[in-house]
Amino acid sequence: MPPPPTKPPVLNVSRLGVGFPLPHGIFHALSDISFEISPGQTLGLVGESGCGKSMTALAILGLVPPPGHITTGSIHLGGTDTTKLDLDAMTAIRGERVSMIFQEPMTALNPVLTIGVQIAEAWSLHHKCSNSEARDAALGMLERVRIPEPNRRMDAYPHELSGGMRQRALIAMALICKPDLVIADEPTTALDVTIQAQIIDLMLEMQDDFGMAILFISHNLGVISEIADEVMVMYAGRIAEQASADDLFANPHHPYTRALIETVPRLGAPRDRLPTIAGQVPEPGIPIPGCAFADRCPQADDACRASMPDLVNVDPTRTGHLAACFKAGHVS
Amino acid sequence: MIRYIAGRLVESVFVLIIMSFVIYALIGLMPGDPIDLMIKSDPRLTPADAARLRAVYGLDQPLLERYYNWAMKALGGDFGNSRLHIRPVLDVMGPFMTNTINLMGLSFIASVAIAIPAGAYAAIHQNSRADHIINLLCFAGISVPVFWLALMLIIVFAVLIPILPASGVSAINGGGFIDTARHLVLPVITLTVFSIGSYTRFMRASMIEVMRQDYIRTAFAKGATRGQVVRRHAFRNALIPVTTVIALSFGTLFSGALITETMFAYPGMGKLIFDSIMGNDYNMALVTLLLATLVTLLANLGADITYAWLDPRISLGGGKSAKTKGGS
Amino acid sequence: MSSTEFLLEVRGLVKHFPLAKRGFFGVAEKVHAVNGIDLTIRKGEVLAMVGESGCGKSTAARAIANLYRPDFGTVHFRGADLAALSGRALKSARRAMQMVFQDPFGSLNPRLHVGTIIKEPLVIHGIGTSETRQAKVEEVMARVGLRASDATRYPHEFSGGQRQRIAIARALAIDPELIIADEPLSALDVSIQSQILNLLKDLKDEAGLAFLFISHDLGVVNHFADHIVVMYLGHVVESAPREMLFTHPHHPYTQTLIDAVPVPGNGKRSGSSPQGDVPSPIDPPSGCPFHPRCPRATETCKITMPLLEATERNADHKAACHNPIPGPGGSQ
Repeated sequence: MPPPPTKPPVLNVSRLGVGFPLPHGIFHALSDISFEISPGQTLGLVGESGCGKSMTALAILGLVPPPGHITTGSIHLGGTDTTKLDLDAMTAIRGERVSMIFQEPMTALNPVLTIGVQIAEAWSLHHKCSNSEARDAALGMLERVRIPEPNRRMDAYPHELSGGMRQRALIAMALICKPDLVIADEPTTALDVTIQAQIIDLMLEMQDDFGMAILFISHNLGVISEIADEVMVMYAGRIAEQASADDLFANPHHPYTRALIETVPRLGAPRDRLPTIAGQVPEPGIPIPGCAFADRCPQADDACRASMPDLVNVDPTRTGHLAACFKAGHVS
Repeated sequence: MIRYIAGRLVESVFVLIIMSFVIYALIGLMPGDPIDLMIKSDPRLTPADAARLRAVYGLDQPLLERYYNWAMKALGGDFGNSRLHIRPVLDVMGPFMTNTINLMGLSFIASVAIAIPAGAYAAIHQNSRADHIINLLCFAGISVPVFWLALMLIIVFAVLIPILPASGVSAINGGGFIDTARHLVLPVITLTVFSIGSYTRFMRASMIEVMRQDYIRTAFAKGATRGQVVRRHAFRNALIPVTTVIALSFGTLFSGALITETMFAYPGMGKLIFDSIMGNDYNMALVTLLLATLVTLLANLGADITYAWLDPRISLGGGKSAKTKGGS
Repeated sequence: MSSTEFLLEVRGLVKHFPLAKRGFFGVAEKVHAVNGIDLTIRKGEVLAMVGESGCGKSTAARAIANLYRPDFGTVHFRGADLAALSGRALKSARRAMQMVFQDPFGSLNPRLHVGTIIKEPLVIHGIGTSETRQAKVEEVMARVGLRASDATRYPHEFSGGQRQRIAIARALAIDPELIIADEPLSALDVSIQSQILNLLKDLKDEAGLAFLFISHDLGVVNHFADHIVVMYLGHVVESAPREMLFTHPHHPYTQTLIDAVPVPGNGKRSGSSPQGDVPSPIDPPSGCPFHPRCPRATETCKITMPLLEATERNADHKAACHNPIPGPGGSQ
């Protein structure tokens, strides 16, 4: 049984819902999302397109694109409920107590400003200081993230750097104010596999140095496995399963999780026909009465299609392994 | 960069030379020549007189020879006399140029100074009431016919409320700065209305596109306020395509104000070019059209340089900016 | 000299792209995309080209498909030298070779009905009559799992996975012998990738189709390929039958790639990731292109380019390395 976390959580999300108004009703991009992250811990958020993982990140930062908005729930960062903050207070928090690393390093950086200027801005937005002080801070961060020839790179434009270096610059930008929580949205998806390995190592090293919590979003189960302590699987805006990384991969309970793990072709696996998940991700905007995964699930029955299962603890020997499935616990 | 500019200037010279021949040939291909006009106005001229006059003016020679003669003189700085104004071309052009520069310059500055902020504001407050009003005004400005607008302005401000002069560039007996300025107000307004409308729309579209970009989201995520995001990140990126358009249209401003000049009897280059073509004034037409070509060429060069200056991804002359390494 | 033993035989393929000259008197830089590669594919065989950005695999594929004219080298397809053909003969040769691209959104004309898109190759090659073409379109659509009623719809009405099926159907319409697939799964959701991969396997088994399969994903390659070619900066660094490559890689880069692949359930990353950045094909290193990042590099490696040679174990297993990884029980 894993020891209970001793420090108060950095992030506590409780029953979060995000909706987009439609001509006739509302589309729930996120429903009933609850989780916690402790300091120094990494939570991996896994799911495919449309599952709401990016939306969760944006909600935490208060950047849900209008007309979407948070419909229910609370987001406690440290002691503060960010859903109740006004714009000025939220702006002060962003970049300082919680920061984000985005997916595409090329488009996430302003092409007409040098990366030195952009990283320095992350510092000067939250600290009264001179230009040269901000620049020094930026240079220091570039050194920490092991960019080769950091002095030269300070004055480089994004298009002059490789993908890996741009991502290091983005990491430097996100960490410069030493936030409590860093959200990384698919930071390695656009990178080559060897560079991906470097970046994951870098993030783990930074976490050791700074002690921040990481919310790591990815559709790649392997990458999640390499970095996360806890994993949350999302499907169609809801949590399907939540457990420690070891537990999730050793004993997946939700049929979706199991299917995801089995469907990924991997090295060393036999070359039989791959198990597939029939059908496709549900269309956003169309409400589904029962479990959203039911029409793709080999174990679904009428009960599954009739009502949405709650997220419950499925493993009596451990706390903290949750799954939203009527069939969980009855692993065949 | 210097090399690039030098190369472009050399190219421009070649273009001018080619254009000089093309223009000369085109004017020469127009039916009729100056002697025909003289015959029409003076019935006593006999065909023999006409032939003699043609010989005197060199109009009986083949086109290529005439062009060659013109070119040789032009290289020496002698652009000949204007047949209509009976004075050297360059002398005649002087005041017209000044008038055009005043008119164009003011109009250009006014339209850019109004359009860029208005477009940016409309984009940031998209779909607000202010945005709708700005859009409406832009469409009005783009759609209104120039001559109608000129007439309306004259009626309102020169006739009904006579505070501004209706025409001309200066009062009959002398001028002075204030006087010139008063004469410029209505023509500048007329000219500017269209370009404000069009530049504003363009700036608005560019700004909207920029605000959708990922790096804007990154800036917000860093904790920048909306004002900071707009000023430091969005504005410069939005300006990039807009400056190219503005710089290019600058070239056409020079010769394109014909209607305005006619409505206000404002002696500018537009009218000069038109009159000289219609009056078969070879020398004047040639020189003024070549000048228009030169301005366009320089405006194009300016547009390219400005674009490269604003956007570090673009490097003129190629090569250096393609330093992108492998790695997606 | 061609051999009818191979369906596709590529020898010494070179493709460079000149960049704009620097200034009036500058020397034109070049992108050394492909630097002399050999490969062969037999009927019904799947050859995978793997490598990271800048390795030249996409350029090589396009040069083989005759979308680029190679600068040097030969491409023999069904015994005929493609460079020596033109006009009708070339068209007829290309009929047996079709391509499927990475981007399922960009490779389909958004203004055409799906049926028209699939029919287009038949029309271009003048095959069949109006009725037989229609029948063929329906046949290939069924083969890839699309419904006949989908033929009157537009590409934007389909999901990414379905669009890829459409692209595959289009490639199948004229019964090719070789399909060149450039990262066909990379833009798809994880749960869809396995569906499409199974489809490709079925096509190989049922129709005896050969594939030139380009991918950066070793897991996928493990599932599908018979023979694998590893590329780095425009060179083939290792070429081996699948199982031999994964069990006993010779080239350090191959080992690096294998180590970098994240595997779900293996726990957090520990230890070393590969050093350095993927180098630029504009300014490649001297000698062996991998030497700056190679843990086994020697002085020779910096100076001399190693040749692709058969290893002691097996004539089919070749590596271009001065200091290859020793096999088990063997010393180097």
